[in-house]
Amino acid sequence: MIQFEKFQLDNGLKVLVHQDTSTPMAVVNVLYNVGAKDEDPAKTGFAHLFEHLMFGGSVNIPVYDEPLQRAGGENNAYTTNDLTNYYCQIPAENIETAFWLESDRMLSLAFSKKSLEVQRKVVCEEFKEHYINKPYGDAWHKMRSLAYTQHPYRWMTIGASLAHVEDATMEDVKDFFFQFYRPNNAILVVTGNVETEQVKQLAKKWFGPIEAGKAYVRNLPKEPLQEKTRSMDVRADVPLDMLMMTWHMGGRFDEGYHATDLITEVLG
Amino acid sequence: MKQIFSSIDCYHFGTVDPGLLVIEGKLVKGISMAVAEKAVLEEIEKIKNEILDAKEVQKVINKTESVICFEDMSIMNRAHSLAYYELLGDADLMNKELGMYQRVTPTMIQHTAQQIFQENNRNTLYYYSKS
Amino acid sequence: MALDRIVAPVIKDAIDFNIQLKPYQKFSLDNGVEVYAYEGGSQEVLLVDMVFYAGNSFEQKNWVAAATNFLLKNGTASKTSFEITDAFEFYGAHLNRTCTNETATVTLHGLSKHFQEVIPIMGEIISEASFPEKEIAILKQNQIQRLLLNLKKGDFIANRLIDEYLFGFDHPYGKYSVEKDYTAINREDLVAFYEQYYLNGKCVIFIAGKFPSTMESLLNKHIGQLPLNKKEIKEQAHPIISATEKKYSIINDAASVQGSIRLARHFPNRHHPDFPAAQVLNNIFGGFFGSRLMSNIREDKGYTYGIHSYLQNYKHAGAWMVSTDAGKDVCKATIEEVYKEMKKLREEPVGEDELKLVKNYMLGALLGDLDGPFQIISRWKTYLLNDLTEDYFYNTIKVVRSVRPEELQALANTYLKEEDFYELVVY
Repeated sequence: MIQFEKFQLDNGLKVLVHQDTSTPMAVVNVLYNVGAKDEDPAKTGFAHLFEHLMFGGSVNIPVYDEPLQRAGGENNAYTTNDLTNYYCQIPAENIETAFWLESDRMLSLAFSKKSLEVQRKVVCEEFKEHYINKPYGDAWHKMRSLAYTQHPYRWMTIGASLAHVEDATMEDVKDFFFQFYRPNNAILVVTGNVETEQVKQLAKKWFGPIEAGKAYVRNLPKEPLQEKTRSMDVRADVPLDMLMMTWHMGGRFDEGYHATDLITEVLG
Repeated sequence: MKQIFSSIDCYHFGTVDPGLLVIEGKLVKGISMAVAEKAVLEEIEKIKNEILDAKEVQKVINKTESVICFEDMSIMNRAHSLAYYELLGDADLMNKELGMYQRVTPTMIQHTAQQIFQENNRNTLYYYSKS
Repeated sequence: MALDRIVAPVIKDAIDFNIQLKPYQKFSLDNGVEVYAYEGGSQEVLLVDMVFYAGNSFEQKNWVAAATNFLLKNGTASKTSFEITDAFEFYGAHLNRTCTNETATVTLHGLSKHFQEVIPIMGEIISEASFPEKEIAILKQNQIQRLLLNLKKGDFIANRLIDEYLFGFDHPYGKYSVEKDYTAINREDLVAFYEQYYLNGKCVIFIAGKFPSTMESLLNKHIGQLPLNKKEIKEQAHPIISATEKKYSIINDAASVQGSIRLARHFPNRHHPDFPAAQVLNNIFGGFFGSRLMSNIREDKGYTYGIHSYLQNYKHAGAWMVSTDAGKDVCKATIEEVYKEMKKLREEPVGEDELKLVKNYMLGALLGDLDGPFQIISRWKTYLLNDLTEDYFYNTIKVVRSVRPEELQALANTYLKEEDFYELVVY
């Protein structure tokens, strides 16, 4: 059993604390309830681009990495179709540094022109390296648009096309931030050598003053039941032929979800 | 399968909204796409038509338990999991997860397989090598 | 009072942390095999790492040690390869094998509650491995396929060659296998090696995690009765014959767009008094993201995605290595910059600020590396297999905390000289 305590700040930020005194470290994890599925279909790839921008400096702190390294910590992040997650691990004694860094970039990013230009380029390089230059790199792009006709899972986290990322403007970026990167749309989890009371104080001090945003109500188009089998041929410069088959399955709360997971184990 | 595919995987999206169950494999040189497809579909038919041995099901449940236990060793993974389950609505679901797996029976697996592996529910990408 | 978001919160420097290495428990089995244990963690899982003195320094023919180690799991007197894998998986367990120079391991990861069901199979693998011809044939075929694929990669070739230049092809640290080595192995070679170095071999065991109350008696029943540690297995001496030529440029693939660069010099093992301070110097030079090499060659010049220096540690010897893959047309320039950075470290003492950052980074990383039972036993395993004690741990921390810029500059003048390094580029 993983024991934990939960509380909520006035601005809507949910906070969970799990204590483990066997370690000298602490982890500060901020999950934002926004993923690729929440993007405008004409402006995809934003959630992931955003993940990069979060490291380009926040309103009061020009560089994220160095203060964290000085405090003996390390960090990372990832974006999926459903969510964006930021986390850092740091010696428990220096946990306030993590609160300072994470709360400032929830408050507001620096939104520097240079940061946007650089990260746009980096993401474009990532797009090329993983999905254009690599053998079979375009397979998922094609499979998603084959299998999904309505639901936002029809585009990949990196974006439906390079152009969407290249054309991202500062206005688009700011709108995205203030719509989704709000305390009432986030979950803060602290684990490790910490006390709940200590975390409460730090959360109130650093995250408390951040204003809540407009509540985000998700209303995504449902994927209609597939009526006929679909297929596509691709020809490319790859060493071997590849066969890829997919079937629609239930969602996370579907009663067959766990059975489905075990089916993949049995067949695998 | 080893003679038809040089590598083959089965997995699913793991997403919150309905995702996809995937079977993908690279064909051994010289094997035709038709032969490969037939082989996969035969395996699919088996799991739809034959109830699995209880021991086989217990094995994959044990594997899952092992994965969960090893993952939960690090405070980093525990933080990820708590955040994710809270996003789903209740962080305590994390503690109920193994129980959900343990309740799966061979009958449930067959029933689910029959629902998912219907021909009109299938999407296929035939990725050919130019060489 | 308004919240000040501009000034960083006060931190405790990692160099001021009280970093402890928790001790192990030790017991012996009936046959004299020693077991080093660290019990802890919150999860009901465990690891059992059986270390045999069966590495490549004991083989007469190339690849015998690695092949024997791999095939242990591929069949016993009573079970096929498939049945063995299935049995482990059924109990939520996993068996790994690795083969290095002095030692080779068989490692179990699994659920504590099923330990009693899997330890007998582990014992069976050690005492009844059968080496079926079919499994040998499949392994040979896979190795040859994999080698043919790998020989196309410049970095793979570079890694093999640099070790060969340093230690010589006949030395366990310098040798590698080619296709004819794979085809030359037969079942008799493997069985003979197995009988000498596993069945009647010398073994030491490391365990960590949460143990069932019957842990010791189960280990004793299934491992403690085997004929291990009866015969002396003497570590062989192998002369180091280093290459005389220092500079190499090799074209492996004329169409390649990158070159794999390796620069290396001999360096003593962990027992040498220079070792701890050299680790600090190494970090500054090229050991982390903010290092001299990274800042210059990646961040400033953009020649490469990543460049690293590290101390390659073996039991009896070592090497100081610089490694990177750079654009084909900037390989020469990259090497020049590396030598320039060496020169800077020889001629100018490191600044106090930079030194403090690196010290904090190193000790913060060390702290994070002691985070659980598996990490702790892994550290003890390294120490024990290299004849080190906990003094090494505390002495290293002491040196990291106290080393002065002048000392690092002196070290650079001893070890970071261009003429002492082998230089290799593989295109």
